[in-house]
Amino acid sequence: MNNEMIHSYSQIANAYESEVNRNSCWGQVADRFVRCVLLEKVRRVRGDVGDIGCGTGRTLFDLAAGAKASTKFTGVEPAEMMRQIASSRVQGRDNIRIIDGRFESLGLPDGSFDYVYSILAFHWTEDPTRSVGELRRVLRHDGRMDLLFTGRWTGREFIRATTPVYMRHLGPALLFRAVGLRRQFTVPETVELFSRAFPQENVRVTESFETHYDTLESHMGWWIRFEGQLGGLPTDRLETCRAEVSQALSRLGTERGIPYTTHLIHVEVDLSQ
Amino acid sequence: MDTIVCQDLIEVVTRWVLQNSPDPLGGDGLVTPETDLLASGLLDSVGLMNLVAYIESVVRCRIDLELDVDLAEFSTIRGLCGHAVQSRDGMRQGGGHE
Repeated sequence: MNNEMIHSYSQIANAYESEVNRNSCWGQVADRFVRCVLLEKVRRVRGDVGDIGCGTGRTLFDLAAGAKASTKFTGVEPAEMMRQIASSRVQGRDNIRIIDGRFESLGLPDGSFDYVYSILAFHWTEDPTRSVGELRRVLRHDGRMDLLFTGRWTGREFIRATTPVYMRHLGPALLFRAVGLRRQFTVPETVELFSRAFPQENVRVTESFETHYDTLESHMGWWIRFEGQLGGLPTDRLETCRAEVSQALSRLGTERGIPYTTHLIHVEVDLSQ
Repeated sequence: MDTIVCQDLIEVVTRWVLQNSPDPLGGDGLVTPETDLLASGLLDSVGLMNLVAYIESVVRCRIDLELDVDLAEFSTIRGLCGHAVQSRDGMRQGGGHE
């Protein structure tokens, strides 16, 4: 994640705690991943667990509550305000610590973790190859890892509807810069990337698509996160742009609501096999 | 490839769009040099960015995105190809290196 995006996420840290965000399609995606994948795996871990891009620490805190008392948890988060909220949340819990770091530079010793997970963060990496190398470095020789992040086709309806608006307001140079901040992974690229650092037979990559229907207000509640990518747009222009984006999204409305299709990539690494 | 003329470039780029569009038969199912690639849904912002990179590789010249860009033209194949050829020719006249 570049410094501009880290700052942007830091500024909206409080909004992350809001009910709107937790109930949004992204909140639902994260909750389901925790319930269906992480809960059971974390319960079985004996040793050290790392949450990379832990945000405000909600998942880390909840997972630690259901884990063995001997399991130690480390949350890594680059955005200062997110880290502050996470640190407050875990205060008094001796088996949880929150540290500053990012995928590209985790700032931890080799072989720190038996299990690493990350939810909806890896797509912000600035340097995928270096980041995967870091993950390999901090994972123990028999460690396991689960990463969930967005893929190339996430939000296709929204992007199609809003790109002409952003093109008008930003122009191609700023638009391409904004677009380039988030990695657009496909499954073949992901397989190739992780197989460079881990034995291919220990890596499993799957993808899923799901369409979520919601109200305009609810979608706009999380869509404004994207505005962190629009650095350089003056405030008055941003307001106009936001209004036009809102109009463009409202035109997508159906009887069920406004659709947003998530494209998620799940990378599982199991070195214990 | 240096001597590629705009019409050839348009054909090459049209093929690229059809091969890389997530929805090549979207809109009215017809891709012309004047089709708005964004409004028709043929390409999204990432696709357009990749297309610009592709055109740059074909004409072997950076497309100047900061220059006075006609936004309507920038999302059509003809506009993009014209802009690329202008950028290349401008660089040659200015003594730039390819």
